[in-house]
Amino acid sequence: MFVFTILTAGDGADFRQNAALRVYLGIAAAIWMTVQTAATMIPKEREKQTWNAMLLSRVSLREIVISKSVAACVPGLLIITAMLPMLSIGLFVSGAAWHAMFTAPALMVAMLGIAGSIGMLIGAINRNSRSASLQAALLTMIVLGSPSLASGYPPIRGFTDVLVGSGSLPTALTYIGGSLGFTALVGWLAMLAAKRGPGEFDA
Amino acid sequence: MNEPLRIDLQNITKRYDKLTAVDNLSLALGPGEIFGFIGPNGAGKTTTIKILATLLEPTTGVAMVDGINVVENPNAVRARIGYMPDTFGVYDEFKVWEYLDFFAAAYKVPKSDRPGLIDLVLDLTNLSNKKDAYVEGLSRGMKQRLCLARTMVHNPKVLLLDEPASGLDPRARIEIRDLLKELRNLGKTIIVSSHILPELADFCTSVGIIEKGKLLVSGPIDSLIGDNIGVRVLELKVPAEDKATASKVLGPLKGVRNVAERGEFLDIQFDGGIDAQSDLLLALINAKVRIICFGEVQTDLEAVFMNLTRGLVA
Repeated sequence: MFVFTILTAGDGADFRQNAALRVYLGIAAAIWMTVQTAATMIPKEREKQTWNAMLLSRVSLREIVISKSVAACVPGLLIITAMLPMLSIGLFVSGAAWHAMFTAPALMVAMLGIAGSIGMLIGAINRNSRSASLQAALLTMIVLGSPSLASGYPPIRGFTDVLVGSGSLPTALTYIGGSLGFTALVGWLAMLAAKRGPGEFDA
Repeated sequence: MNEPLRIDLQNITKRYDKLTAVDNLSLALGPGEIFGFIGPNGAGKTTTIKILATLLEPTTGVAMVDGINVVENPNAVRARIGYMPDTFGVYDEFKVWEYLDFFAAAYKVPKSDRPGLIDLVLDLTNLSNKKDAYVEGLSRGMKQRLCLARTMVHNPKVLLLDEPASGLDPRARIEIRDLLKELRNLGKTIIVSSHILPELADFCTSVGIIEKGKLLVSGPIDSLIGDNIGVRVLELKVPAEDKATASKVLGPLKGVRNVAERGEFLDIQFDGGIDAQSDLLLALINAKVRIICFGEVQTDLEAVFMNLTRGLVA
């Protein structure tokens, strides 16, 4: 009900002006959960001493990192799925462009991808899940709590514009594509870190 | 065509900054060999095994498994090896068969082949009756055997077992030992590190003693003992009244270093060959010494180990 209220409060202009921060609450929760889950996945395997066994199988490191990232995104995806009907109503009520019905959720999913890959990178460079979890929490707090998010800083504002349906289709596609590209880059770094890590750590 | 060596280490060195964990180690093993890796803690056994397992890269030297370079083609090597670390984890929430099925899938064993393979490795490791039990409920020994089953689930040619029997009770150790003998009969090449030397002596075709990263000696146990215990001890039992004569006869003979009395026996420190050993008997008989018992005191692997090592770590 709370989420419904914050997403549908006000008519068109109000929604566009205020909903950014309100949508942000939902996506922030999803991102937080995703980063936390992803960051502890590899360290937990190391702690349980199952990581080397996994590495020595014929599953490639890329497959392991991608599948763990996807698994880490599941809680966040559930949050987004739960938000989806209310977000759609909110966008409809506010008179957002038709493409926003697709681009807003797509960008949310892409943002989860970034969160998942950053979490995996944090996990890959940490030996234990406690330190990984702490680093993930700090990073998420710094990023999500950054004043630039609320200050209308253009690149961040672009994200929120797409999420509340006030951005153009090319802008939305640019942000979605950019997010996916960034996810791939960070995921690749996570893979390198995971490859370097286990043997040397365990020696 | 000759089958390539299953394991071929050529001048392997592994350094961590100033620490040299493995120092110019060479080793060659063929099919069906069980090599016992002996050394004090920190000697470099685990590092060597990890290099073969593709988990570590050597600083210098070449490591090959079944003719494949472990650095250049680790994925191909991984398909050929089963590695059991000294400390290992399991997924407690799985059932035993699920755990093995998970790893069989990870090793890309075709789905149709998995049930048969799982039954086979469970049978080999004597865990068939625990197939539907949760991993969490297994004893330590059973988990150890499950880990061994996991290393075999893709039917590797080479098994790398790091302290497979550590922390097990005597029965579980005997079961592991019997299992290794069975695997030897299946033609697997096995490297096994252990601190329990008499057990290694029982089933290893050859052993190597490593200290401070250097492989001090390696080879079949008998030749290792022969080569590294310079002076053998022969024991002779004669009636008490013949002891003095026996000592007098033996003293000047070739190869005899010392004759000492030990209870009912005479201990003869002897560095001669097997022919010279029979000459001792002949001389005693000619001197009309009545011999009750004559033989060599068995020198075991522990004696060789203690003789060669000084407890140094890398």
